[in-house]
Amino acid sequence: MRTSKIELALLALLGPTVAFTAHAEVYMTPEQAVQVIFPGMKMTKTSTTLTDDEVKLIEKLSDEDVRSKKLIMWRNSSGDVVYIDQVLGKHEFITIAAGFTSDGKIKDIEVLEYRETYGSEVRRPAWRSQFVGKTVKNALKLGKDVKNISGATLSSLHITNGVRRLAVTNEVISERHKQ
Amino acid sequence: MRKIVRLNCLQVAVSLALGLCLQFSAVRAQAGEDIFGYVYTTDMMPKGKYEFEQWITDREGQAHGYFHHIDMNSEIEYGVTNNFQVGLYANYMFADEYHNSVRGLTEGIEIPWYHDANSPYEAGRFDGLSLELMYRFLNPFLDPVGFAVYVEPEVGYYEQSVEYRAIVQKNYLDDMLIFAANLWVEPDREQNSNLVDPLTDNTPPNGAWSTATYAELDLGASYRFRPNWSIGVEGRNHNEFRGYTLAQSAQDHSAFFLGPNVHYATQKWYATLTILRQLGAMTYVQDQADEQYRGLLYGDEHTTWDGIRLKIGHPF
Repeated sequence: MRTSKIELALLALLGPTVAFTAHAEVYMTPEQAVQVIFPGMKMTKTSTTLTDDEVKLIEKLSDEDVRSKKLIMWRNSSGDVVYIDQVLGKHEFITIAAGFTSDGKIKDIEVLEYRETYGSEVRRPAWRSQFVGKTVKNALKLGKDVKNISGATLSSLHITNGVRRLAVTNEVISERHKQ
Repeated sequence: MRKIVRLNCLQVAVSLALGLCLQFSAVRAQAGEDIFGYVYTTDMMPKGKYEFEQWITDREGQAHGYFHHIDMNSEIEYGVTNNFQVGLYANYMFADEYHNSVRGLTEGIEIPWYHDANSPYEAGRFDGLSLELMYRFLNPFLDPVGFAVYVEPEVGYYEQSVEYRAIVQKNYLDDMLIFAANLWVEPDREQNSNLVDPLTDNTPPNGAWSTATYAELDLGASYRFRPNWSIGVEGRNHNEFRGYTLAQSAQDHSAFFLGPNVHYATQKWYATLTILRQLGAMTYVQDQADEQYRGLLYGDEHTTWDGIRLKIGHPF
């Protein structure tokens, strides 16, 4: 093996990078999140696919892109529902659960998976509690009726936008059931 | 001739161990995450957080012979507040050069003035320390554009300078597409290299100091095409002026560089690789024109690949 001193120096600096590995931070499963949001309630997993018209309506009303037409949700006979969804983190997707009562109010939100370097403060109950009781009629916008977490701005912003999109989605899905 | 080092398994193991110590020792840290090699963004570290960042910049190839020049920067950064961070760099370099200049001699970038231009040059040295101060006025996630200012004084045996940089950032597509622009100016005082004008100057080099002002516009675009991965492009327009002025009458040259980048980031570390090639240069004085070869400018500053930069960051 022949190499120069420069290549030797590069080897010294680059070699150890293979020692770094990422690991996922999974805080709860979707089933656990459903039970945390609606404790003791019998919820049934189901899924549905949004139509093109529904996607357009949701994007128009929420001002957010719909990344997936397929919705994963848990429902009960009273009309309560929990959506499991993903929003963009800085590096990876953040998995969230958003629960709505039958009258469209946010029951609670949970962060199921968070794998970002910073910003895990979005899991704190004090921040998540800002969403409780709000409906699609609220702004659900960071800096307006949802406070930013300084130092975790991107995660705060994308989760807030995701919850707003899900609130609108819940209204659209509810209209389906009324028809 | 180029010196060759023979490595055995023990030497490789020692190199890896040394690197491991360097990356995980008391100086573990990194800057706000760099998605570009050369263009800075307004990304900041949260209050109270540290990062270690290692930069390796290979400036490769001049007119003739061979030219390998590697600049190393090891940095610790700290978030004083969520909008103000400080950092400390250690700067050092390795060089391996021979008959590289336009006139086919061993001369140019940071080769000491007393070095024999007919001999190969191979060296490693500590260049000095840099202090970084960065303040963000506008956050691209909350405001229409991000805006930050950056000041970096450098003190070294061969060079002293202060860099002033304005940083603008605009995000699109749910923050997956990022544009950034930097405008920076750097008054600089440095010890002369052993380069002489190939056509007109028979004056032997000496250890005098010269002054110059560098001004540069850097532009970059980066798109996150899948989780953890971004690709992009970045470009530099580098300008040099004689003395402490930005007057057009004092301008030596204007050089252009362009190339791709790729960025990978996880919770624990990130890496960014940028490869810039010199596209060409405009010269405004004869001694600069004399340092051009096949449309590219070399002299005591630039290279063909200028440069190939790898950044590795680790927050803690």
